[in-house]
Parts: sequence; structure tokens; C-alpha cells
Amino acid sequence: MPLRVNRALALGGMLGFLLGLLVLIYTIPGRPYSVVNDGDQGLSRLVNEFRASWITSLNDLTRESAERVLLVLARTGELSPSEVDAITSFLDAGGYVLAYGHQDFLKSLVDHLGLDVNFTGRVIDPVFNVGSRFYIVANSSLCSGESSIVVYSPLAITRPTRSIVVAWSSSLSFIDLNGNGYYDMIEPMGSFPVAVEIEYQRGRLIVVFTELLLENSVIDHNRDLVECISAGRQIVVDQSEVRNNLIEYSRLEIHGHRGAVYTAILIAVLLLVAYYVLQSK
Amino acid sequence: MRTTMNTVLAITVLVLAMFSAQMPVLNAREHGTPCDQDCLFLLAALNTVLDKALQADAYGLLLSNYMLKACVNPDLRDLHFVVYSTLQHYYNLLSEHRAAVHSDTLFTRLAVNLKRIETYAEKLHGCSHDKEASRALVTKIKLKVEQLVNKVEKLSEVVLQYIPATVKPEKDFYEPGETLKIILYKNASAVQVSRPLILLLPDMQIIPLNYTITITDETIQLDLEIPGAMLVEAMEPGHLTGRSTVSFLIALETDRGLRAIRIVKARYGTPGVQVFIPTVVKRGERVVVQIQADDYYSALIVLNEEPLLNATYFLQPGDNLIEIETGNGLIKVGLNRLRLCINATLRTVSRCFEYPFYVEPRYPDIDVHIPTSIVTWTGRFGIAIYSKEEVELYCTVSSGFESKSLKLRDEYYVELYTGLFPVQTLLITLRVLDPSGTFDEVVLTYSVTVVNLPSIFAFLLVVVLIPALLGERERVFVSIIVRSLREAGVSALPSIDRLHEELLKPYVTVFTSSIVKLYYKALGKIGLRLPAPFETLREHYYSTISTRVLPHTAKTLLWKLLVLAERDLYSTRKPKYEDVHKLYEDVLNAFAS
Repeated sequence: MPLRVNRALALGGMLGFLLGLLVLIYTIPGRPYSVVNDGDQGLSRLVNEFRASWITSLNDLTRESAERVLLVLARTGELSPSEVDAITSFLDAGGYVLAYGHQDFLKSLVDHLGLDVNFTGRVIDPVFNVGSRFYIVANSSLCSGESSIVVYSPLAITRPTRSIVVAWSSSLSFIDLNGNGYYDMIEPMGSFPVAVEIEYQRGRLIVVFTELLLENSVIDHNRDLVECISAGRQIVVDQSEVRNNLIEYSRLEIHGHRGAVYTAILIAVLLLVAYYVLQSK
Repeated sequence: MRTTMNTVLAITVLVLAMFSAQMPVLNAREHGTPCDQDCLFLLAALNTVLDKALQADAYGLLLSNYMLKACVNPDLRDLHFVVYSTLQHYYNLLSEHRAAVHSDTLFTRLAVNLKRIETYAEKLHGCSHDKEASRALVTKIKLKVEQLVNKVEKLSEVVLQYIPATVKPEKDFYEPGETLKIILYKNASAVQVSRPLILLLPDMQIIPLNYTITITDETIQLDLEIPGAMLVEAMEPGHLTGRSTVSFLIALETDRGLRAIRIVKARYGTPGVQVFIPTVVKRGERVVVQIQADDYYSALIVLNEEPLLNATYFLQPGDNLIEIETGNGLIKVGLNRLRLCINATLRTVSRCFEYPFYVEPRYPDIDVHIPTSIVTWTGRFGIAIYSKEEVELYCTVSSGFESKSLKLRDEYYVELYTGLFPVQTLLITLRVLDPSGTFDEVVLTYSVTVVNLPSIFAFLLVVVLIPALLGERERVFVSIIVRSLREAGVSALPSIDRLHEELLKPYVTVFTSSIVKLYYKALGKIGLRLPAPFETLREHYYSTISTRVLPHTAKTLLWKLLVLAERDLYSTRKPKYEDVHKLYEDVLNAFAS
């Protein structure tokens, strides 16, 4: 009897685990900035429509290919010193980097680069927007002529040193200092920088102080930006944050180049376990 | 079989449920309801637009166009539309060059609609989340509306008294310095013209102008020039700030008063200047500012709020180079700002451009040879410092225990004291100064692990030898002290009757041993001295009992009682009280017999 219970435990546990993994991988949306996330905050459309590839470690960036690559660095968490070294090495070799993401990531990036930047609040624009005052239209000098980009509630920054402001909000925007989403009299109204470019000898680093720039929810508004910045370079998306999360990493591998193989193995194991369960007496 | 299947299914569901912890929390992204209007913002924006309108700044027209698309709730939408289209109308009126189409009705309607701005502002105040702030804004807005209405009325007084005339050429925008020909037909206007006037709108500021009058039998021809930007800025400073188009009213001073001819718009250019300046330079290097100009300009160059040149700098068409030494005292290490203010010309307005650049400190080229770890016999170690600069540098080297100052030559060697610790990590600080100011101060720190061999040997000596030596002496010392105290203590003891209570106090209060109490009681009953606080039970036995002439049996029994008392104090195998009490009675009997 105990042996039967132990077997039931093992079989049930395995079956539940495999089914759960499959459900998570195929049905639940992934984390922000994931290339296999089809939701608003995912980068699946960037990959599919611009034929972007991805890397799971910044050490995979090679100096030899730097001049042919635009790295999209979108993150939630902080950068480690070794990651910063990899990025600066890539820039020195002629690579282009477009960085944006959550405040923790942006803060660690500007701190490591030695830019004297303070974040004062989020910019809201009730007039120059694309349907919501949080998705604002910012003027930009990144592309030739008068161009604009759509960013999600960007962080207002003090004028940083050693860099050029390349995008700024309209003069009817304001900084939401108290975070209530509405204008208050003490809140400054005007045009604020939302993106900067740092010159490197051969490379180019553009930092946009927003959480959403190329995600599925805004990419339609920023196609021109992608095309003019990449200018024929291969777009590579950094997915090294995903590496620390087993579910996400599995999702990435399964949706990746060898996805069919991994899926087949997973389903085969599942069928095997199910068969064994049904046959057991 | 069925039971096993049920168990498997149950466990499967349980494990699946555990995966729910992995499901990402789907944060509702703030999309904002499409018409979640912000009334205080709308008030602030209206205030800004009115500011621009009062100056007839074309940017106000642009803002009005955009504000028409702003998010407003249905109950305010109509009024919002009326307000901003009225402001558009106001701008159109200022630029309408056919004065003949102006009518009293248009101006009246404009004035009435401008008044509706106040109603709109009050409604916005009603839905504002900050009533105090919105009330202050409404008050300002009402004042501005009143000023705007006054301007419109003043303008209407002149414009409605117009004289039909032919203007050549007929254009939407005129260039500064361009000559306008105004032809009046004598039979169409029975007035005597004294001079033409150009009035800057909306304030009706009279601008001096050059003109000629040619009178024929049938016509009066006036040739006048559109004022240049320099003149406009001189007459009304700040009027051209932030904009490039200006509306003028051309009027005539006649014997019947002021008569309007035409409202014309002039377009002024901005200085065609491009500035190239490096964003980062090292102190000591020159900052080369390249200014590309498309015309002749005069400019003031300001560096960190101080004028760079005492005179005006003249720019020529093409490349102009300005070289700024970073050691000139105006430039500091860190962020600097260069402002180029270009004065107005005939065709271009004045403009200031600001360019930040960063000056990095300049450090001397020195080479420091310092080991990461050393083993020293002398308690000192050396550092070699090589300076590759020609200037004389001063260096202060500190180890925490010693600090030395020296002048750096081509090569220098300095020794520092490491302290007494056998093994330690020293933080060596080098501070290099340049009195001439060519280089910036640099502070370098190094960590050095120092193994001080003499200290180690001394330490070993102390640790190993001295305790061994002191051990014997210590024992002698302690026993002398103990014996002295014992003898002194005995003589100082009070009568025996109270003595055992005093002496038992530590045992009773600290150990609460009833067995020891019995032993003491036995000693008391027998009439023997009780143990002093400084002696153990055995020491007391050897010194007091074993040396006495007593029955052997009694001594043996008393010894047994002592052992049991000790067991009760120190051992986990406590004796039974009943057994000890019996022994106690035996002791008494033995001594009694």
C-alpha cells in the first residue's frame, strides 16, 4: 500500500509539474521586455516585424560584429559592473545601444556612466499624446527633419552632463511630482528632456527615460525611430534578465530556434508519464 | 486502480495550483480614460495661451490649435470649442490685411466671445481638484481677458475708421526693409494726410519709419519701409522673443484723426548660426568653438555668466573660430555653459543660444610603485614615485602612522613606518598638488598588506614565554594572598552562633543546597569552626578536622557527609535528602559517643 501511494505521489507530481510548465509557457503572458511576450509590454512584434534576434548574456556581444549591430537594452533591474563593462566595450568597438526601462535600471546605467542625472518625476502631457495623457508625443532630433517619438510617462531628468538632449516633451507637458496623474500648481509645466545621446568614439548610446518605447503597445508609433536609428544594422534584443527566471528562460528557449525540439521533448515526456499512470495497477 | 488514479489526479491538481504562484501579476497599466479631463491643467494652459495672445505671439495661435484637440468632457466641450476658436479668431483679426472687411459686428462678437472665457474658467474651477489654486488662476485669467478686450476695442476704434487704399505689392508676409507703396485716391478720401504711421499690434506702439510722400493731382502715394527687427526690439524690447512674425497696422495721421489703411504681417528670420563645440575637454586644452554664420552678425559671448570678450564679437559669413583657454579663470572643472547672444539685424531677431560643455580635470602623469604586500624586518617600507611632468609637484604620502611631504622630481623614493601590528592592511594615501595650477589635485589610495616580522617575534615571545614564567610565580603569589586572607578572616569572624548563617548565605542564597546546610549544621553541632567564604569544604576539612584528634569513625562519617554535600553542589547525581539526613544523625552520634 505505501508503495502504491509513493508511486501515486511521484506520478501525480510529475504530471502536475509538466502540465503546469506547459500552461505557463504557452498561455500566460511573460514578463516585460520579453521577446516572447505578446502582451502590451512584450517585444514580440519588434522581433517578428523587424527580424530582431536576441541574446541571453551581454558577454555574447562580440567586438567584431559591433559595427553591424543595434542593441536594444530594455530592463527592469540594475546593471552589474561586469555588464556595464560589456556594454562600454561594445560601444567602443562601434556598436549602437538604445537603452530604456524601469527607473532602477536607468539609475544604475547613468550612475555607472558618470552622468550627473536626477530624476524629478514623471512627465504627463494632456494635449500632445496618442489617446492617453501617459503616452506622450515627444519631439525628437534623432532622425532627420522634425520627428517625434511616443513614450510612456517618461521620467523628467535634470540636464545631464556629457550628453546631448535628443528628445523633449511639448511645452504643454508637466512633471507629475506627487504622482497623482493630475496637474497641480507647484508642478512645473513646459518642455522637458526625455532622451539623451552620449557620444562615444565610434559607437552611439541613446538613453530614453521611459518604460515603454518599442513594446507591442507603442511600436506602431515608433517605427520610424527604429528604422532611422538601426539604419541597416541588425537589431539584437538583450534578454539576459530572463536568464535568472527558470520559467521565462524555458519559455524563451521553447519559443526560440530550437523551440520545436524542446516542445516535442516536453510533450513526449508528458505522454510517457500519462501512459505509465494509466497502465499502472 | 481507481484509488491510485484518484490519488494521482488529486496530486496533479495540487501541483498545478502551486504554479499559480509563478503567474506574473498583471499590473493594470495606466491607460487613462480618454476624457478623464484635468480641469486645473486646462486652466493653466488657458492662462498660458492668454499670455501669448496679449503679446500677439503666434505661438499662442499654435497652442490654441492644439488645445482644440485636448481631452474635455461633454459638458464643457462646446464652451471649450468656443473659447479656443475665439482666440483663433482674435489672431486672424490681427493678421487680416484687408481692413475693409472688418466690421463693427465682428469686433463686437469677438469682444463678447472673449468674455465667455470667464464663464469657461469658472466652470473649470468648479471641477478642479485644487480649488484654491484654480481660484487664483481664474482671477488671473479674468484680468487677462479684460486686457484682451481692451486691446480689441482700442484696435477696433482705429481699424473701423479706415481709408480705402491700394497697397503694392499685395502679400501675406512682408520682409523687413521692404518698401510698400500705398496709393490713396484724392476723390475717394476727403482728408488731408500729414504722415503715415506703423503701429505694432496689439499694443499700438508707434514705430518710427522711413517714408516718402508723392502727391499728384489724383493720388497721394506713400512709400514706406517695413521696420527692421532691430527697430522693433528697440521700441518694444522682448516683443520678438520666441517668435518671428509680427503684425503692424499701417495708418495715416490725418486732419480728422488716425485712419487705418491695412494690417500687414512681417516675417523676421532667426540668426542663421550653427555652433559646434566639444562636449568634453580636458583642463589645459583649448576649447575651439566653431560658429558657422550665414550673414554678418554682432554677438556677445558669455561664459558661465561672465562676458568672455569685453567688446562685441563680429561674426562673418562662413566659419568663425573662437578659441578659449581653459586656464583663463572663467572656466571651471565640471559643467560650464557658453551662451552666444546674437544681436538683431534688419532681417533677423536677436537670439541667445546656450551650449554646455564639460571640463575634465587634468591630472599629472605620475607612476607609483607600491607593493600590494610586504614583509618587513625594519618596520618600514618604501614607495617609489615617478613624475613625468616638468613642473614641480608636491606630494604628501601617509600610511596612517606616518605622513611625509616631498617634492617630486623625476624619481623619488620614500620610506614609511608601518606600525607595531604583526599583520595588518595599511591604507596608503598619496596627495599630489601642483602649486603652479597646471594640474589638478589628485588623491590616490593603495592597500598594502604588511607583515612585520619583529612584531611577530615579539608577540610570540609575549604569548608563549611569559605565561609559562608567570605561571609558577602566580601560584606562589595567590597562595600567599590566600593564606593571609584566611588568617585575617578567621580572626575577624563573629561568634559561631551567627557565623554559620553568615557563611551559609552564599550557599543558601546562591546554591540553595539543603545538603550543605546539613553539613554546616553538623559542624555547628559538633562545635567545629565553619568553612570561611574563601576556602573550599575540603580545604576547611584538611585544615580544621583532619588535623584534630577525633574518633576515626566520626572523621570518616563527616568526610562522607562532605562528599555528599559536594555532590549536591556540583554533580548531576544529587544525593537523596533522607539518606543524607541519616548520615548526619550518624555523624552526631559518632561525635557524641
